[in-house]
Amino acid sequence: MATRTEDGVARGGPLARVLVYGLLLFAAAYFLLPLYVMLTTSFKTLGQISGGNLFALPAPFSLTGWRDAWSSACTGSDCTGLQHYFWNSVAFTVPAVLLSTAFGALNGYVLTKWRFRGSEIVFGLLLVGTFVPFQMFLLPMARVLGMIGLDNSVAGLTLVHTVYGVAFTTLFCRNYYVAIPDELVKAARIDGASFISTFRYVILPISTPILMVCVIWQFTQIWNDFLFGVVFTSGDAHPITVALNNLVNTSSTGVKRYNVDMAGAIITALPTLVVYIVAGRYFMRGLTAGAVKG
Amino acid sequence: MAASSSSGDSAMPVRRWLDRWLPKLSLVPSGVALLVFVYGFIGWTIWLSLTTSSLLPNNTFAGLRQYEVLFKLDIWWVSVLNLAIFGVLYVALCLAIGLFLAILLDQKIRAEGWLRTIYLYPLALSLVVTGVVWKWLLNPSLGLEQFVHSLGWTGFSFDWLINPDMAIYAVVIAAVWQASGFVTALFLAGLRGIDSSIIKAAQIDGASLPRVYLSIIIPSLRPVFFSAIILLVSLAIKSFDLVIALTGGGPGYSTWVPAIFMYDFGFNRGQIGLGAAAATLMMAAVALAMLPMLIAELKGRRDGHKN
Amino acid sequence: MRQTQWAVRGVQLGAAVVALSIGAAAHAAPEKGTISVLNWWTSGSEAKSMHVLQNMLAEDGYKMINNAVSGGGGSNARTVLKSRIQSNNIPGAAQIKGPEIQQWCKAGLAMSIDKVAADQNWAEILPGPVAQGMQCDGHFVAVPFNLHRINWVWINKSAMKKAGAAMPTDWNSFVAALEKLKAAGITPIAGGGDTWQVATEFDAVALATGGADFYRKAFVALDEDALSGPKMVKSLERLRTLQRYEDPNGQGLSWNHDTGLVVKGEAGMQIMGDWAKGEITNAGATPGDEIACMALPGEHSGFIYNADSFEMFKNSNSDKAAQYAFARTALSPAFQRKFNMAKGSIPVRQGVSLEGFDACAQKAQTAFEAAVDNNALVPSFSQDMAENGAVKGALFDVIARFYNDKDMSAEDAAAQMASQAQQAQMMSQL
Repeated sequence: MATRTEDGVARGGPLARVLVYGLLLFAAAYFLLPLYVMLTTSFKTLGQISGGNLFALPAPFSLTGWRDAWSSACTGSDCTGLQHYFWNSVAFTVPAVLLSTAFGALNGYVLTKWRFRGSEIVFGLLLVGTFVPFQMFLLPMARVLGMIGLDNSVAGLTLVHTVYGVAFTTLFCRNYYVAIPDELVKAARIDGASFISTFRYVILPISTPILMVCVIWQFTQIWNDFLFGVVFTSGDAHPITVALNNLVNTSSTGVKRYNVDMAGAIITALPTLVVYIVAGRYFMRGLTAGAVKG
Repeated sequence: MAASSSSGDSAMPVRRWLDRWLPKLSLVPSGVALLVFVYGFIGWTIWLSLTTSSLLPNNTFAGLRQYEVLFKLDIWWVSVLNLAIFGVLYVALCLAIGLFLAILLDQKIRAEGWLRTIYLYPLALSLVVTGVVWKWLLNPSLGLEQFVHSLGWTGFSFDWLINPDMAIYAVVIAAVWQASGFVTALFLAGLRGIDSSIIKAAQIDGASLPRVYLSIIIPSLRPVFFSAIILLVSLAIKSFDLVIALTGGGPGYSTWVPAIFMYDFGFNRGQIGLGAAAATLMMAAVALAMLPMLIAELKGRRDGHKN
Repeated sequence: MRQTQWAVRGVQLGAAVVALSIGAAAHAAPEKGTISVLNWWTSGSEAKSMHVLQNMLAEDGYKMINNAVSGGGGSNARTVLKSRIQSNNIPGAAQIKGPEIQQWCKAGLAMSIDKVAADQNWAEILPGPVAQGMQCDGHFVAVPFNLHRINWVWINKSAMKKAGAAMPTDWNSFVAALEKLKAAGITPIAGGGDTWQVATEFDAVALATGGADFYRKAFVALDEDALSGPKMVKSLERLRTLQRYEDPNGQGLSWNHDTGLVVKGEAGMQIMGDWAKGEITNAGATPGDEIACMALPGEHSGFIYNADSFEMFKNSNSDKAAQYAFARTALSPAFQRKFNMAKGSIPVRQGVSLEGFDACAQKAQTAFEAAVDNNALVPSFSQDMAENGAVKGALFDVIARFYNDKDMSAEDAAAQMASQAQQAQMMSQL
């Protein structure tokens, strides 16, 4: 029953299709279950949360959690919700994502298409950066940032995130470029293309899918980072994750408001979700743009 | 390439010089950062582990005292064992689920974009809160067990979260939920990069679909496996937020992992030297575990290139 | 009226703080001085209390920059403090309690506030043991805010009635009441969620079982005989008894959740400090009314205290005058009343009127005065008041192991407590 499609991968029969869709939907349910609990909880009243069934729908339907999380919950230095922390996060996330992705693509390109003696070792050394236990590095980092006058600043935070992100983006890009036939680059060089123009006109146009992977990863990691944000910013300059932490982690002697917590978590995640939806589309576009043909 | 046509002969030596050095120069910023922020700090951490550093770092040499104490601490060994169990299961499950879902998604699925976003979204959510949700879901009197009971199957029991011997497996469930979607995306990008003419040729030769996957597609995903494993191992050794939010390290300290150990001893208990010793050992262990794979990958690549 | 004025001023101040941190903080000229305060109070009532303090300081012409970081019982704030010290951006005051105050002082970082202490006569207005804890080498370096009592039991009266249980007066009647609750299908004790909670329970049990002298010997002096002796063994056995009346499914659930169970009558009692009052009020009940408060009964009575405090740092990013003002204002009667009413504790400044405080706070004050007279006032080991972080951590580890391993004997646990605490003590004194 297998019929061939234009990309060569065979489709199974209707039964197989049902099975494939069934499995995919089952997986979707597993992934969505916690989101369901978060969403319903965010619309419940505190009374219903402490008294009711976890899976019950909100009754009465209450927007208090969302309103408080956005505009009136206490987040440490004041009680105006998460609203103005949003831009704090944007301020360092966007440059750090762009910088680390750019460096990653460049490094990946050099390490695969312009190899030199020891380039594999450089890559190996770079990979160690992905295993760094950040907790232990906070103190030396604070000292270094203090010395170069970047502690407590957006620039400092951008630097830190870029530095620790480059290892990942280099890894992704290198392993993508390694599969690109070297002949492509060689041909360009014979045509007289330089190091930079080969990158610009040959490599970059076919890099969309992996750059999207880099952006998804980096955006997620940097936007959701708490540890660096809490240590290297203060008060009103805190990123949104620190504000969320302050909103959620009441001290051991405080009162918990789960509906506000859940709404706050979803609000915090919105930009990342938007990136996923948008990046996902470019993922596809990167594919249809021709991708890698031998 | 447009630029290349305008360059005359006189520019050629400069160009050659640039082509020779630019690639290396372009690695310099990353290299310097690496030297300071990774290797410099690793060195500093190793040094601290040999000092009496407590509340704040100091430079009083203490030999291997911190390591002696560390080896005697039950809580350290529990943390190490947990990381081993967690790490192996987490990496294996994420790879299996990620690859499986990616292959399914690659079958010209309608609504692929939506499914992919659904699989990915857990990564977007802060663990500070999703940990709490999983805590509810896995708690016997609040979550799934209670739900199944309310459906009438009262014999159903799922108490991993409150059982000191099983709680670390409960952490695996939530952790896999978080990262497997990203691994799916990674594999999907890899699958999309595979030259389809090879697959076509194999199918014309009469190879069955599973056969095509097993002997052609999956082997050519090797770099993706490499990326995914590095990524997952890195996530595993850094796992901190999830464990804190899900179990708080409990019951007792039965779900402690080295990251929690370092943070708690280093900052909370004012035993920086001990935390540094833990970090040093952990980095050494990870380096040892990853080294064979690293060498194989780098060597394999180079050899593959020669062929 | 006054409150709305405050609110308006709060908004103005908030705007000023924003402006201050956006423009270069150091250049803006504060009226009399600025202080940045690192703390882990971000939840509603606590954060609002800090705003009250901010406003009171503003009235005097000082700017207080509130830098709050919650999480992990202050561990995130500790991390921030240590990092700030590394990058030489030291806060003027940081929330630090118990023996950690001495540790920072010994590191040479604490600033003396003797001037304020002399002006306000702290030796008189603060309880002796508390005043002592705020000093280092004879100088005051920290200011206390409040007094929490740890050894409370919160009891749902109607649940007790339903189970036909009488209010306990000693350990045996306490256990009898638990048994009745259990028979009536009510969870006798809501608790056991995490080690911090278990340790808080153990705190109360140890004092009720062994008395103040034993408690001090064991948890303050780390006396080996006390730590591994019969009174500790008996206390641990009683913790085991409590465990039998706790819902094993409660593991991992927060103390707030447990308080909710007591208010709803699904559980009969909770052993918890007086911050539980906030949750009780939140759930629509009145502490001392539907939910009774009493000290955990046993052979001994006393008062286990937990005092939140702020240590002052020298060479900080703040002005000395503002640091003094912070300490002075924190102990002003007006702030003491406002703050403690909101937080559920009692004023640490003696002689402040308790008018308008709830019944349990009045009870706490009486118990406090009695404990001072009987020398039965002890610092809570579970709330970081008795030992530094290393030793406390070691004690918690043993309690966690004992609680999770039902086969572990109380004798073994007591012996381990002695050896582990000693080792941690030795390491932190290297």
